[in-house]
Amino acid sequence: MTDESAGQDIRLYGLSKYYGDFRALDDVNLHVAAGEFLTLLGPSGSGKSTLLMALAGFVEPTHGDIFVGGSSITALAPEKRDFGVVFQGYALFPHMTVAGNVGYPLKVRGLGKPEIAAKVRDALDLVQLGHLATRLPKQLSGGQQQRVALARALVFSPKMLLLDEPMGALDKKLRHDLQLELRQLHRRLGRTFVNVTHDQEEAMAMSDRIAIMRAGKIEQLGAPRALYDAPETRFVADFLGKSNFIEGKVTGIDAGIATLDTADGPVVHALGTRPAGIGDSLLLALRPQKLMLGPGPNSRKATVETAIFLGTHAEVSLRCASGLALALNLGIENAQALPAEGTTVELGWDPAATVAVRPD
Amino acid sequence: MPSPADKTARPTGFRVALRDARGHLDPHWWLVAPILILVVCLYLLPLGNVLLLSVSDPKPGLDNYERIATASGPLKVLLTTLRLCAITTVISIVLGFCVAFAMAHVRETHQRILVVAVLVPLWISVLIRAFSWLVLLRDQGPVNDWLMQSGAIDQPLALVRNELGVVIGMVHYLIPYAVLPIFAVMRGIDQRLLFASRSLGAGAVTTFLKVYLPLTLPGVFAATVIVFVFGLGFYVTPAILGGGRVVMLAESVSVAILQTVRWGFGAAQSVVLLVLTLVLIGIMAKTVGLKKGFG
Repeated sequence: MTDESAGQDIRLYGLSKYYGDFRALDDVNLHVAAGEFLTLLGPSGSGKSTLLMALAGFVEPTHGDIFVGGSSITALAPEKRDFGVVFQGYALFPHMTVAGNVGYPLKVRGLGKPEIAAKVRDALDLVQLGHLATRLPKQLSGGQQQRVALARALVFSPKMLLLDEPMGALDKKLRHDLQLELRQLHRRLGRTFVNVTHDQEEAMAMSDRIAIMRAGKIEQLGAPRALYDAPETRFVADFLGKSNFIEGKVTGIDAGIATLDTADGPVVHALGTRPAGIGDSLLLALRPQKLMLGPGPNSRKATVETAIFLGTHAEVSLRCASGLALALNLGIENAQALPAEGTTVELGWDPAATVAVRPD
Repeated sequence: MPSPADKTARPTGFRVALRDARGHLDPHWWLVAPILILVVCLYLLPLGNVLLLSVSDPKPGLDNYERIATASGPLKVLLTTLRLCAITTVISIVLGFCVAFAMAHVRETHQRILVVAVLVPLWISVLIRAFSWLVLLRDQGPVNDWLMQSGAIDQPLALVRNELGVVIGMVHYLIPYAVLPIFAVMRGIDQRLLFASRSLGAGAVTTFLKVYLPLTLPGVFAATVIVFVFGLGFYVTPAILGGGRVVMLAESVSVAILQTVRWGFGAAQSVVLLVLTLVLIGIMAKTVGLKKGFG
C-alpha cells in the first residue's frame, strides 16, 4: 500500500464517449502524474466536464480505459473510486450543517463519532472555517461554500481531487484569492488534482500542466508557460490569451530566419524549433504585447482604430493597409503616450516574437 | 410637487400593498371587488350562520358539540373519518411517492405522458369514478369473476360496500394530489447532490435514504396534509362505495340536515370538519409554507 498522503497517477487510454453521433470525448489519451495539478481547459462543449465526470464515474465511457495507480477503474461505481469531487455550484447538502456535510463521507464509511468529529475539525481548520461548523450551507457566502465543498472532498483522504469549475460562481477578486489558496493546498497535500475550467487565467494561475480541449479531444498539453509561448494550433494561440494572426508564404530562409511574403509586405520570422521550407504557407501567431510602436524590424504602417487605457496596460486596435486587424498592448510605461484614434502609426515586432501555428 | 414616497413607489403592475405609500387604495382592487362581495354575501355570512346555528339550535349552548364528543354514534363517525383518512393518506403518499419518483426521473417525453396520466382522472366526475369502482369490485364484477375463474378464490371477495371499498375509491381520487406536490419538490432537487453523495462514498441506497429522501420531505409533508384534508370532506365516495355501512363526517352532516332535520347538530359537525381542516392547513403553512406545498 502506498503512503496515504501521496497522490496517484491517472492514465486514460482511448477514452471516448458518444451521445448518438455526437462525440463528447473522442479517443482521449492522457497521463496525469502522481501529485500533479492538471487543468482541463476549453470552451463549453469541448468535453472537459464529460472527461471529469467519466473520471468520477458518472459518465460511462463508450470506449477506453481509465487506470489509477496501475489498476483499471473503468467499471468501478463512483462510490468505490475514492475520488474527492468539488462540483460546479458545490452541491452541498442543504439539509445538513457544515459539519454534517464534511462528516458525511466519514459517516458512510462507518467511522466512529469521536473520530469523525476530530477529522471534521481538522478539515474545517484546513480551509479556515472551524468557526462555522454549525451553520447551514445557505447561511454561508459563495466563497465559504466553496471551502466547505473542498473540505468535504478532502476529509476522507482521497487519492485525488477532481474540481468541476470550482470558481465558476465567485466574483473575480475572490476567485483570485481562492486560486492562490487552492494552489498552496495542493502543494501542501501532494495529492493529484484534476481541475476543469473555461477560465484561462485560473488555469494559468494554478496548474502544473494544462490540457486544452476542443471538440472532445486534447488539442495541446503542456506547462502554462510552454502553451502560452509555443501554441501549436491557431485555436490554442487564440484561446490561451489573445493572438494576432498573419498568413504568409516563405520566400527565403537564412540562418533560421525565414522571410515571408504577406498581404502587407515581407515579414521576417525566426523559425525556432518548427522547421519550414521555401514555398510553404505559414500562419504566424503574434501576441499583442509583443507588437511595438515605432520603427524596428517588420516595420509597417497602420491606422489606429481605437485606443483604450486600462490601468495596467492600454489596448490599441490597428488596421494595416491590406485590411488586416492587429491588436497591440502597450505596457504601463508606454501607455501614457497613447496614439490618438484615427492617426497613422509605425509599428513592428521582433522576428522571434512570432510562432508558426497549424491553421484549424 | 412629488412627495419623497414617489421615489420608492414601484410600477403599478407590481404593487401588492392594499394601499400605496400615500394611503390611496390601489385601483387594481376594484377588479376583484365583485368576487369579494359575492364571497362575503354567499359564503362568509352563511358560514357565520352555520356557526351560530351550531350553538343555538335547538337551544342555546354547546350541547351539539358535547354530543359529537360523547355520544357513541357521532363519535364513531368522527373516528371512522379520521381512521379512513389516515389509512388513505398513508397509501396515497406511498403510491404517490413512487409515481412522482418515476415522473421526476424518466425522459422528458415519458414524463409528459405520465403527467397527463396523473391529471386526466381529475377531470372525471367523482360520481362516475365511484360507480365505476362499484361495477368493477362488486361480487359479480370483473375483478371477482377473474379471481374465481383463475381459481385463486372460491367465494367472491368483499371488495366494496365496506371500508376497503371506500379506501380504494378515496386513494384513487387522492393520488394525484399526493403526486403533484412531491413531484414538484423532486424536480427541484439538484442531481449534483446525488452525484456528490456517490462521490463521497455513499452507495445508491444510502444516497436515497440520507440525501434524496430528506430533501423530498417538504413535498411529502405538504402532500400528506393536502390528501388528509381532502379526505376529511369526502361525501360521494364513502356514500356509494361504503354501501351505507361506512358513514363519514360529510355524509353524517348531510343526514342531519336533510333527513333527521337536526340543523344545529349538522352545523356543529360542519364546524368540527372546518376546524380540523384549518388546523391542518395552519400546521402546513407554519412548517413547509403554503407556496411550497401547493407547488
